[in-house]
Amino acid sequence: MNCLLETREETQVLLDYCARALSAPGAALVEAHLQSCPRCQEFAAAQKNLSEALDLWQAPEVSLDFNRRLYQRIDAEAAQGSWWKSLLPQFERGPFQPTLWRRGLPVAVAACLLVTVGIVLERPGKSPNSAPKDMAQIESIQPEQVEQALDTMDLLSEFSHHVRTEGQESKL
Amino acid sequence: MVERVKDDMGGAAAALDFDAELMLRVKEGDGASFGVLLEKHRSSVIHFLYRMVQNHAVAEELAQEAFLRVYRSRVTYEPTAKFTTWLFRIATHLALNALRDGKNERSQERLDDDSSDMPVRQVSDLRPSVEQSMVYQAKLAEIRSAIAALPEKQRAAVLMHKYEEMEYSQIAKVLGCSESAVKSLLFRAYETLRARLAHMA
Ligand SMILES: [Zn+2]
Repeated sequence: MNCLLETREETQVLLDYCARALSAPGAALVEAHLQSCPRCQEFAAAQKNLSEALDLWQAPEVSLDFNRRLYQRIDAEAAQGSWWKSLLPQFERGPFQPTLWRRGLPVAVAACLLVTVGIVLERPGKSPNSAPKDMAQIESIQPEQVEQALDTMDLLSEFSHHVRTEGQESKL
Repeated sequence: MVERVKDDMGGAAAALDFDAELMLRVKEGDGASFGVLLEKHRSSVIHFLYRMVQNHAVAEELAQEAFLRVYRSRVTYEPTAKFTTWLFRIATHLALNALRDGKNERSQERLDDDSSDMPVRQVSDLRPSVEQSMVYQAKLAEIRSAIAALPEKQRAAVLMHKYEEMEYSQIAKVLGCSESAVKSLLFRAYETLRARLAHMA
Protein backbone atom coordinates (compact mmCIF):
# COMPACT_ATOMS: atom_id res chain seq x y z
CA MET A 1 0.00 0.00 0.00
CA ASN A 2 1.27 3.47 -0.93
CA CYS A 3 1.51 6.01 1.84
CA LEU A 4 -1.94 7.35 2.63
CA LEU A 5 -0.61 10.88 2.81
CA GLU A 6 0.34 10.92 -0.86
CA THR A 7 -3.08 11.86 -2.14
CA ARG A 8 -5.90 13.82 -0.58
CA GLU A 9 -8.35 10.97 -1.25
CA GLU A 10 -6.23 8.51 0.70
CA THR A 11 -5.58 11.01 3.48
CA GLN A 12 -9.35 11.28 3.65
CA VAL A 13 -9.43 7.52 4.26
CA LEU A 14 -7.00 8.01 7.11
CA LEU A 15 -9.23 10.77 8.53
CA ASP A 16 -12.22 8.44 8.26
CA TYR A 17 -10.21 5.80 10.10
CA CYS A 18 -9.45 8.32 12.87
CA ALA A 19 -13.16 9.20 13.06
CA ARG A 20 -13.95 5.46 13.29
CA ALA A 21 -16.05 5.78 10.18
CA LEU A 22 -14.46 2.92 8.23
CA SER A 23 -15.80 -0.60 7.88
CA ALA A 24 -13.86 -3.34 9.68
CA PRO A 25 -11.99 -4.49 6.52
CA GLY A 26 -11.13 -0.86 5.62
CA ALA A 27 -9.88 -0.18 9.13
CA ALA A 28 -7.77 -3.35 9.05
CA LEU A 29 -6.05 -2.19 5.84
CA VAL A 30 -5.26 1.20 7.35
CA GLU A 31 -3.95 -0.42 10.54
CA ALA A 32 -1.66 -2.67 8.53
CA HIS A 33 -0.23 0.38 6.76
CA LEU A 34 0.11 2.34 10.01
CA GLN A 35 2.35 -0.35 11.47
CA SER A 36 4.97 0.30 8.83
CA CYS A 37 4.56 4.05 8.19
CA PRO A 38 5.79 6.59 10.76
CA ARG A 39 4.37 9.52 8.76
CA CYS A 40 0.86 8.13 8.85
CA GLN A 41 1.31 7.18 12.51
CA GLU A 42 2.22 10.78 13.24
CA PHE A 43 -0.76 12.08 11.27
CA ALA A 44 -3.17 9.70 13.00
CA ALA A 45 -1.77 10.64 16.41
CA ALA A 46 -2.20 14.35 15.65
CA GLN A 47 -5.77 13.82 14.51
CA LYS A 48 -6.50 11.75 17.63
CA ASN A 49 -5.10 14.52 19.82
CA LEU A 50 -7.23 17.07 18.03
CA SER A 51 -10.32 14.93 18.48
CA GLU A 52 -9.62 14.57 22.20
CA ALA A 53 -9.03 18.31 22.53
CA LEU A 54 -12.37 19.03 20.84
CA ASP A 55 -14.05 16.60 23.24
CA LEU A 56 -13.09 18.94 26.07
CA TRP A 57 -15.57 21.49 24.81
CA GLN A 58 -18.88 20.51 26.33
CA ALA A 59 -21.98 22.51 25.50
CA PRO A 60 -23.94 23.88 28.47
CA GLU A 61 -27.20 22.30 29.58
CA VAL A 62 -30.37 23.47 27.89
CA SER A 63 -32.31 26.01 29.99
CA LEU A 64 -35.12 24.46 32.00
CA ASP A 65 -37.67 26.89 30.60
CA PHE A 66 -36.72 26.37 26.95
CA ASN A 67 -39.87 24.38 26.07
CA ARG A 68 -42.11 26.70 28.07
CA ARG A 69 -40.78 29.73 26.22
CA LEU A 70 -41.22 28.02 22.86
CA TYR A 71 -44.78 26.89 23.58
CA GLN A 72 -45.55 30.38 24.83
CA ARG A 73 -44.46 31.78 21.48
CA ILE A 74 -46.51 29.17 19.61
CA ASP A 75 -49.53 29.93 21.82
CA ALA A 76 -49.03 33.65 21.37
CA GLU A 77 -49.07 33.30 17.60
CA ALA A 78 -52.12 31.02 17.73
CA ALA A 79 -53.95 33.34 20.14
CA GLN A 80 -53.23 36.33 17.96
CA GLY A 81 -55.05 34.68 15.09
CA SER A 82 -51.79 35.04 13.39
CA TRP A 83 -51.14 35.67 9.75
CA TRP A 84 -50.14 32.10 9.10
CA LYS A 85 -53.56 30.78 10.13
CA SER A 86 -54.74 31.90 6.73
CA LEU A 87 -52.33 29.40 5.24
CA LEU A 88 -53.90 26.61 7.25
CA PRO A 89 -57.42 25.76 6.15
CA GLN A 90 -57.64 22.93 8.69
CA PHE A 91 -56.43 25.13 11.52
CA GLU A 92 -59.49 26.23 13.43
CA ARG A 93 -59.42 27.08 17.09
CA GLY A 94 -56.24 25.58 18.46
CA PRO A 95 -53.12 24.01 17.10
CA PHE A 96 -54.09 20.46 17.96
CA GLN A 97 -57.88 20.51 17.76
CA PRO A 98 -58.87 19.30 14.28
CA THR A 99 -57.30 15.87 14.57
CA LEU A 100 -58.82 15.31 17.95
CA TRP A 101 -62.30 16.00 16.63
CA ARG A 102 -61.74 13.74 13.63
CA ARG A 103 -60.73 10.90 15.90
CA GLY A 104 -63.91 11.22 17.94
CA LEU A 105 -64.89 12.76 21.23
CA PRO A 106 -63.69 10.06 23.66
CA VAL A 107 -60.22 10.03 22.16
CA ALA A 108 -60.26 13.82 22.14
CA VAL A 109 -61.22 14.03 25.82
CA ALA A 110 -58.53 11.53 26.82
CA ALA A 111 -55.93 13.27 24.69
CA CYS A 112 -56.92 16.69 26.06
CA LEU A 113 -56.43 15.39 29.59
CA LEU A 114 -52.99 14.07 28.68
CA VAL A 115 -52.05 17.27 26.89
CA THR A 116 -53.32 19.34 29.84
CA VAL A 117 -51.27 17.29 32.30
CA GLY A 118 -48.31 17.67 29.97
CA ILE A 119 -48.81 21.41 29.72
CA VAL A 120 -49.14 21.82 33.50
CA LEU A 121 -45.99 19.78 34.07
CA GLU A 122 -44.13 21.55 31.29
CA ARG A 123 -45.21 25.03 32.36
CA PRO A 124 -45.30 25.11 36.12
CA GLY A 125 -45.66 28.89 36.34
CA LYS A 126 -48.55 29.16 33.94
CA SER A 127 -52.07 29.56 35.27
CA PRO A 128 -55.20 28.85 33.21
CA ASN A 129 -55.87 32.58 33.21
CA SER A 130 -52.51 33.46 31.76
CA ALA A 131 -53.66 33.60 28.14
CA PRO A 132 -54.06 37.40 28.02
CA LYS A 133 -50.58 37.74 29.53
CA ASP A 134 -49.19 35.44 26.82
CA MET A 135 -50.94 37.50 24.22
CA ALA A 136 -49.36 40.60 25.63
CA GLN A 137 -45.96 38.97 25.22
CA ILE A 138 -46.24 38.58 21.49
CA GLU A 139 -42.82 39.57 20.25
CA SER A 140 -43.20 39.28 16.55
CA ILE A 141 -44.07 42.01 14.17
CA GLN A 142 -46.17 41.05 11.22
CA PRO A 143 -43.85 42.11 8.38
CA GLU A 144 -41.02 40.27 10.08
CA GLN A 145 -43.15 37.14 10.38
CA VAL A 146 -44.08 37.31 6.73
CA GLU A 147 -40.42 37.67 5.84
CA GLN A 148 -39.50 34.70 8.01
CA ALA A 149 -42.25 32.57 6.51
CA LEU A 150 -41.10 33.36 3.01
CA ASP A 151 -37.56 32.66 4.12
CA THR A 152 -38.50 29.26 5.51
CA MET A 153 -40.63 28.42 2.49
CA ASP A 154 -37.74 29.41 0.25
CA LEU A 155 -35.47 27.24 2.33
CA LEU A 156 -37.93 24.38 2.07
CA SER A 157 -38.37 24.61 -1.69
CA GLU A 158 -34.68 25.24 -2.29
CA PHE A 159 -33.97 22.27 -0.08
CA SER A 160 -36.49 20.01 -1.85
CA HIS A 161 -35.03 21.07 -5.17
CA HIS A 162 -31.51 20.37 -3.95
CA VAL A 163 -32.46 16.97 -2.59
CA ARG A 164 -34.26 16.03 -5.79
CA THR A 165 -31.31 17.17 -7.88
CA GLU A 166 -28.96 15.18 -5.69
CA GLY A 167 -31.25 12.17 -6.00
CA GLN A 168 -31.22 12.44 -9.77
CA GLU A 169 -27.45 12.86 -9.79
CA SER A 170 -26.95 9.80 -7.68
CA LYS A 171 -29.17 7.75 -9.96
CA LEU A 172 -26.98 8.67 -12.94
CA MET B 1 -47.68 6.58 6.51
CA VAL B 2 -43.99 5.74 6.34
CA GLU B 3 -44.49 4.73 2.71
CA ARG B 4 -45.36 8.35 2.01
CA VAL B 5 -41.79 9.32 2.76
CA LYS B 6 -40.32 9.86 -0.65
CA ASP B 7 -37.54 7.82 -2.13
CA ASP B 8 -35.21 10.80 -2.28
CA MET B 9 -33.99 9.83 1.16
CA GLY B 10 -33.02 6.37 -0.01
CA GLY B 11 -35.08 3.32 0.89
CA ALA B 12 -33.43 2.42 4.18
CA ALA B 13 -33.26 5.96 5.46
CA ALA B 14 -36.90 6.53 4.55
CA ALA B 15 -38.05 3.48 6.47
CA LEU B 16 -36.02 4.55 9.48
CA ASP B 17 -36.97 8.19 9.50
CA PHE B 18 -39.50 8.08 12.26
CA ASP B 19 -39.00 11.83 12.62
CA ALA B 20 -40.52 12.45 9.19
CA GLU B 21 -43.42 10.27 10.27
CA LEU B 22 -43.83 12.38 13.41
CA MET B 23 -43.67 15.58 11.37
CA LEU B 24 -46.42 14.27 9.11
CA ARG B 25 -48.51 13.75 12.23
CA VAL B 26 -47.77 17.33 13.30
CA LYS B 27 -48.94 18.38 9.86
CA GLU B 28 -52.23 16.65 10.61
CA GLY B 29 -52.62 18.61 13.83
CA ASP B 30 -51.01 16.28 16.35
CA GLY B 31 -49.23 18.61 18.77
CA ALA B 32 -47.90 15.76 20.90
CA SER B 33 -45.74 14.61 17.99
CA PHE B 34 -44.19 18.07 17.83
CA GLY B 35 -43.35 17.68 21.51
CA VAL B 36 -41.63 14.36 20.77
CA LEU B 37 -39.57 15.92 17.97
CA LEU B 38 -38.65 18.82 20.22
CA GLU B 39 -37.48 16.57 23.04
CA LYS B 40 -35.54 14.37 20.66
CA HIS B 41 -33.62 17.08 18.82
CA ARG B 42 -33.61 20.08 21.14
CA SER B 43 -30.22 19.40 22.72
CA SER B 44 -28.35 18.63 19.52
CA VAL B 45 -29.72 21.72 17.78
CA ILE B 46 -28.93 24.00 20.72
CA HIS B 47 -25.47 22.50 21.16
CA PHE B 48 -24.71 22.91 17.47
CA LEU B 49 -25.92 26.51 17.52
CA TYR B 50 -24.00 27.19 20.72
CA ARG B 51 -20.76 26.03 19.14
CA MET B 52 -21.53 28.03 16.00
CA VAL B 53 -22.23 31.36 17.72
CA GLN B 54 -20.46 30.62 21.03
CA ASN B 55 -23.12 32.27 23.15
CA HIS B 56 -25.65 30.19 25.06
CA ALA B 57 -28.43 32.78 25.16
CA VAL B 58 -28.11 33.53 21.44
CA ALA B 59 -27.99 29.80 20.67
CA GLU B 60 -31.23 29.18 22.56
CA GLU B 61 -32.85 32.17 20.91
CA LEU B 62 -31.91 30.78 17.49
CA ALA B 63 -33.04 27.27 18.44
CA GLN B 64 -36.42 28.69 19.47
CA GLU B 65 -36.66 30.33 16.09
CA ALA B 66 -35.66 27.10 14.33
CA PHE B 67 -38.34 25.03 16.07
CA LEU B 68 -40.88 27.80 15.59
CA ARG B 69 -40.13 27.73 11.86
CA VAL B 70 -40.50 23.96 11.82
CA TYR B 71 -43.86 24.32 13.53
CA ARG B 72 -45.00 27.11 11.23
CA SER B 73 -43.94 25.13 8.16
CA ARG B 74 -45.81 21.99 9.15
CA VAL B 75 -48.62 22.53 6.65
CA THR B 76 -46.23 22.74 3.73
CA TYR B 77 -43.94 20.01 5.06
CA GLU B 78 -43.10 17.23 2.61
CA PRO B 79 -40.74 14.48 3.71
CA THR B 80 -38.34 14.87 0.83
CA ALA B 81 -35.33 14.23 3.08
CA LYS B 82 -34.44 13.27 6.62
CA PHE B 83 -36.15 15.52 9.14
CA THR B 84 -32.86 16.27 10.90
CA THR B 85 -31.32 17.40 7.62
CA TRP B 86 -34.10 19.94 7.21
CA LEU B 87 -33.91 20.97 10.88
CA PHE B 88 -30.15 21.49 10.74
CA ARG B 89 -30.47 23.35 7.47
CA ILE B 90 -32.82 25.82 9.16
CA ALA B 91 -30.52 26.01 12.21
CA THR B 92 -27.41 26.56 10.07
CA HIS B 93 -29.18 29.23 8.04
CA LEU B 94 -30.15 31.04 11.26
CA ALA B 95 -26.66 30.71 12.72
CA LEU B 96 -24.98 32.07 9.59
CA ASN B 97 -27.40 35.00 9.51
CA ALA B 98 -26.79 35.69 13.20
CA LEU B 99 -23.03 35.67 12.65
CA ARG B 100 -23.37 38.01 9.71
CA ASP B 101 -25.68 40.29 11.71
CA GLY B 102 -22.95 40.68 14.31
CA LYS B 103 -24.40 38.60 17.11
CA ASN B 104 -20.99 36.94 17.16
CA GLU B 105 -19.61 40.13 18.70
CA ARG B 106 -21.45 39.11 21.83
CA SER B 107 -19.95 35.67 21.45
CA GLN B 108 -16.45 37.11 21.31
CA GLU B 109 -17.06 38.69 24.72
CA ARG B 110 -18.01 35.26 25.96
CA LEU B 111 -14.73 33.77 24.79
CA ASP B 112 -13.07 35.55 27.68
CA ASP B 113 -15.70 34.54 30.19
CA ASP B 114 -16.83 30.97 29.84
CA SER B 115 -16.59 29.88 33.46
CA SER B 116 -20.30 29.06 33.43
CA ASP B 117 -19.71 26.72 30.50
CA MET B 118 -17.33 24.50 32.39
CA PRO B 119 -18.91 21.05 32.55
CA VAL B 120 -20.47 20.43 35.96
CA ARG B 121 -18.56 17.20 36.43
CA GLN B 122 -15.30 19.12 36.17
CA VAL B 123 -16.30 21.04 39.26
CA SER B 124 -18.24 18.65 41.41
CA ASP B 125 -16.82 15.21 40.67
CA LEU B 126 -13.17 15.73 39.94
CA ARG B 127 -12.78 18.84 42.09
CA PRO B 128 -9.85 20.26 40.12
CA SER B 129 -7.32 22.46 41.74
CA VAL B 130 -7.26 26.13 40.84
CA GLU B 131 -4.29 25.41 38.61
CA GLN B 132 -6.05 22.55 36.79
CA SER B 133 -9.10 24.69 36.38
CA MET B 134 -7.03 27.48 34.88
CA VAL B 135 -5.32 25.07 32.49
CA TYR B 136 -8.71 23.71 31.47
CA GLN B 137 -10.09 27.21 30.90
CA ALA B 138 -7.05 28.16 28.86
CA LYS B 139 -7.39 25.04 26.67
CA LEU B 140 -11.09 25.66 26.25
CA ALA B 141 -10.49 29.26 25.23
CA GLU B 142 -7.98 28.10 22.62
CA ILE B 143 -10.33 25.47 21.22
CA ARG B 144 -13.20 27.94 21.02
CA SER B 145 -11.02 30.55 19.46
CA ALA B 146 -9.66 28.07 16.89
CA ILE B 147 -13.18 26.97 15.95
CA ALA B 148 -14.40 30.57 15.81
CA ALA B 149 -11.56 31.46 13.46
CA LEU B 150 -12.62 28.86 10.89
CA PRO B 151 -14.55 30.13 7.87
CA GLU B 152 -18.29 29.72 8.52
CA LYS B 153 -18.89 26.71 6.28
CA GLN B 154 -15.83 24.87 7.55
CA ARG B 155 -16.96 25.59 11.09
CA ALA B 156 -20.48 24.28 10.45
CA ALA B 157 -19.10 21.18 8.72
CA VAL B 158 -16.67 20.37 11.54
CA LEU B 159 -19.32 20.86 14.22
CA MET B 160 -21.78 18.58 12.43
CA HIS B 161 -19.09 15.98 11.70
CA LYS B 162 -17.33 15.98 15.06
CA TYR B 163 -20.09 16.69 17.57
CA GLU B 164 -23.27 15.56 15.79
CA GLU B 165 -21.53 12.63 14.06
CA MET B 166 -23.31 13.33 10.80
CA GLU B 167 -22.31 11.58 7.61
CA TYR B 168 -20.82 13.47 4.67
CA SER B 169 -24.00 13.04 2.64
CA GLN B 170 -26.15 14.62 5.34
CA ILE B 171 -23.74 17.50 5.96
CA ALA B 172 -23.74 18.07 2.20
CA LYS B 173 -27.52 18.34 2.14
CA VAL B 174 -27.54 20.67 5.15
CA LEU B 175 -24.94 22.96 3.58
CA GLY B 176 -26.35 22.64 0.08
CA CYS B 177 -23.14 21.39 -1.50
CA SER B 178 -21.68 18.16 -2.82
CA GLU B 179 -20.19 15.42 -0.67
CA SER B 180 -16.76 16.06 -2.15
CA ALA B 181 -17.10 19.73 -1.22
CA VAL B 182 -17.87 18.67 2.36
CA LYS B 183 -14.82 16.39 2.43
CA SER B 184 -12.74 19.28 1.21
CA LEU B 185 -14.18 21.66 3.84
CA LEU B 186 -13.45 19.12 6.58
CA PHE B 187 -9.99 18.36 5.25
CA ARG B 188 -9.01 22.02 5.37
CA ALA B 189 -10.73 22.66 8.71
CA TYR B 190 -9.04 19.72 10.45
CA GLU B 191 -5.71 20.70 8.92
CA THR B 192 -6.05 24.21 10.38
CA LEU B 193 -7.21 22.91 13.74
CA ARG B 194 -4.40 20.32 13.97
CA ALA B 195 -1.84 23.05 13.31
CA ARG B 196 -3.42 25.50 15.76
CA LEU B 197 -4.02 23.04 18.56
CA ALA B 198 -1.01 20.73 18.08
CA HIS B 199 0.66 21.98 21.27
CA MET B 200 -2.29 20.76 23.33
CA ALA B 201 -1.23 17.13 22.93
ZN1 LIG C 1 1.80 6.32 5.25
